[in-house]
Amino acid sequence: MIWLGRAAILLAFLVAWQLASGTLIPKMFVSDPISIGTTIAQWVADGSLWNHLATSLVTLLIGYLLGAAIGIVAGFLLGLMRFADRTLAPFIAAFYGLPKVALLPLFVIFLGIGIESKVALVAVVVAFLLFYNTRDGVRDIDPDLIDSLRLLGATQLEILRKVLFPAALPWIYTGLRVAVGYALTTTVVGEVLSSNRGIGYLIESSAGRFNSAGVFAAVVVLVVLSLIITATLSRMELSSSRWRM
Amino acid sequence: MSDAMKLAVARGALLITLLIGWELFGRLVDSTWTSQPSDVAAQIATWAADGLAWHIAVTLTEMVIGLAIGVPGGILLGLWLGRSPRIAGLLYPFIVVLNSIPVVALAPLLIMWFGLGMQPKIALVALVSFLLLFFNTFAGAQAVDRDLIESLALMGANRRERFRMAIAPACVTWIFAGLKNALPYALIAATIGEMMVARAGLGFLITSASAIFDMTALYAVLVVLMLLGAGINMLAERSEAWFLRWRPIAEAQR
Repeated sequence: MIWLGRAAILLAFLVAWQLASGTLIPKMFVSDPISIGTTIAQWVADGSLWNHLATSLVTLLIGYLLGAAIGIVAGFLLGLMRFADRTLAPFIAAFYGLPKVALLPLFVIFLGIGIESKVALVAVVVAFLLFYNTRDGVRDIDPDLIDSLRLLGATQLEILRKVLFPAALPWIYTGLRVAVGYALTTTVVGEVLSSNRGIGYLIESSAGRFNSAGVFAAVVVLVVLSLIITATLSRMELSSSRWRM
Repeated sequence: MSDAMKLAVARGALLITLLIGWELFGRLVDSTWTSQPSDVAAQIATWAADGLAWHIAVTLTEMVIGLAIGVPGGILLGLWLGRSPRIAGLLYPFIVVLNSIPVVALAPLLIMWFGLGMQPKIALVALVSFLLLFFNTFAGAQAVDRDLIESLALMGANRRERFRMAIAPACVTWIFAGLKNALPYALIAATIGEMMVARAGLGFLITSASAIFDMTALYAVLVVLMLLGAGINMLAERSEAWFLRWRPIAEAQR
């Protein structure tokens, strides 16, 4: 019943859009559902959609993994070295305050307009998130636990493996989860600002030619991609946390 | 030496080492790509005498107007939908879809609609802050303790009183969490909008500097933007702490 209501709302919205376009609002601004559908079908047919999708996904994945690795390692290091952490805190906070996209022109100058510059941007964004999460997780550990293990004769490596890592893991998970959304946004924004491939490029190049159907089509693709990623994550989370109480 | 002093010395030493290292690299090795701090400082000083305040003002104005539109709108819609379970249930899938849109990626669309001036940036800031506040307020309004509302109702409170005494205060925490995110995000949105097309603002300065490979100017804007961003983050944290000072400490520390 409720799905019927939802379908009715969606249908009413699409029909209103289709009818208003070109009559109430100039078609150049809002396009219309049929043109958008045709544009997507066309992109699928000529294969360009898959190229752009693949570019965005590769950028996202490499940047994400790179950033996560840097952030987790840095988080562990500074989580364990209190003085270094407190010394660096204002510097890191200052960098954190900088809107990271502002670094894109710098990356483009150094790394070129290919995916490398976007990978670097995504990595920076993800690294900050993972750094803060991992560091807080490491700091949150009961120091008594570490002390008693040390008293029992555990080596530094054993403490890392048996206490620090498992205790920080939930925090790292949270960071990894949150970072996916940021990574996707950053990828697309980076592509919108300067690139020659990817979903963001599709949005920007369509807008540049005042092709509103193209802009909306690219946004629809982006939303579907984002939904797929979110759904996959929830599923992975469910299956990986079965062992937890 | 006390702990605080040791810390201050370490920070100062690190800052000075970094600056000297950068300066020496620029002077002795190659300053084409890295410029050097003295040049960057000189650039900021030149700008400060001529127009930097104007660009900062443009960016801040876009943020303030956008926030002034988006924040109240998001709070109102969030409160209303959060307290209307039937409508919220009906609209749930649409809300999920909305939540998963990387909104800043819509900037080209807004530029197409609103042109090259400040309007598309204001619209982008408004949209971003609207959605952030909406999702937070919505979650907060749904999470209000039912018992609290029911006991108020039992005591004869009408709808308006229940809203004022139970629902609104319970949402405040969530609203502030949203606001704390919205402030830095407003700066990000304004900067992105300006980096795409603009005639003024810090984002515009970045693009125009990088377009002519003026590294000194590029680093100078990044420094200004960094200070502005750190200031905004600090403001967001302080104001949250101040507004929520009535909360019990245990909750405030979460």
